[in-house]
Amino acid sequence: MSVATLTTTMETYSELSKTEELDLAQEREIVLRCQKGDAEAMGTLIIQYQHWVYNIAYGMLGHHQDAEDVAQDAFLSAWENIGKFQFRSRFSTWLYRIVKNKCLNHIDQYQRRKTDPTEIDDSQPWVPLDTTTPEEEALRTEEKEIVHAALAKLKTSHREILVLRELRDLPYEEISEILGCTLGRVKSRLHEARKALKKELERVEW
Amino acid sequence: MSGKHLLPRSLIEDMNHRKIQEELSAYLDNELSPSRHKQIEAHLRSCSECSEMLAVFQKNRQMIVNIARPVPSTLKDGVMAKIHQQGAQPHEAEPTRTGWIPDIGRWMPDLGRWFFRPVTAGATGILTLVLILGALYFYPTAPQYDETLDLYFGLYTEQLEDNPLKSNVVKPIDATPVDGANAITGAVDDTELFLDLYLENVGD
Repeated sequence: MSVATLTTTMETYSELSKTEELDLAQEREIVLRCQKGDAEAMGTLIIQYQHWVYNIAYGMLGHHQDAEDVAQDAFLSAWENIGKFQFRSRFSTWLYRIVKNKCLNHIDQYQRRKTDPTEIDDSQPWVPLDTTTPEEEALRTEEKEIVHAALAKLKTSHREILVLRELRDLPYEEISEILGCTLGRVKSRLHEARKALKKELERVEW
Repeated sequence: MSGKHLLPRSLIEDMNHRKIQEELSAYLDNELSPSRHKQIEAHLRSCSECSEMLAVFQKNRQMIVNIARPVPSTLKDGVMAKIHQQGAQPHEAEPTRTGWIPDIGRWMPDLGRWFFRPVTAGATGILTLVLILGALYFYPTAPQYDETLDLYFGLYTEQLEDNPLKSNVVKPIDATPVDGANAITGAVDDTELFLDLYLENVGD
């Protein structure tokens, strides 16, 4: 890894860690305020979670504008449905579940659009590698591009679990709540996903 | 393959190796029990294949972490603008429900306070007592059980008598060869007669 990449990574980390995490009691109080219609409280929750919501969407979709659209949509949906949140899980778990569903809907809509030849959008990142020109291929030297390309090749279920675990470092229990599956399934699926990513990266890098 | 093994790995060792390989992810995420964690740690010291795989997993994890981007400054403003402009309002908080118990609280929000008033509590207690005493007074007695059994056996016997084909069910069947042919005899009632007629006509 180059020094420039490392510096960028450190900057990203420092930016992500700027927001102090709320403790559960504070979070509960803010969510209760949201449930009473306090939009400012929603603003506090957005500041708290925007890094993770945006980056989970970015990891899933691989396109910054789509990630921003989906993140905004997810926050708006969280605001509209916050009355349904009953503190049975952490607020973050509930929010990440919304993000995951929004991402899946987005991917689904994109795939459906892709079947219509008049609506293929080349700016989308998940166009298969084979369709890119040699010039575009040559530009894919950056590590991030390689990772995105490899992630793009994975099954959606593998991509979502990798993003949740590697990017957000969520514990297995929370991942199982977000994905709605057992701990054992999380364990095995994550292992399968890592093996699949290893294979894809080896293929892309060579 | 694990290069440090001088002898070929036995089947058990190979199975152990495969099982450990499946658990490398959980090991990396520190999601195993302390004893299992130590076992895998010991295996990693002697297995280059597993060590390499773990190293690749760690490297790939870092690569995914590195794709994180700073959040666009427009994200929060965009959401807040939509909240204010569209007048989007959150749904009212729904009362907490406990599994299958009917959500009475939704329709009667003051039910809890009403229930714990002294008059209500006293009335509820008396009602409960009346229900318990009533249940004990009207509880079915033992003879009803005997009558039910008698009725059941009576009906069963009648059914057997009315249906000769079913009578074989309760009678033993005696299979004895007659005149070189396998025949079933010993059946009762109409069935026995039926078989005799059959043997007379078809037997040889």
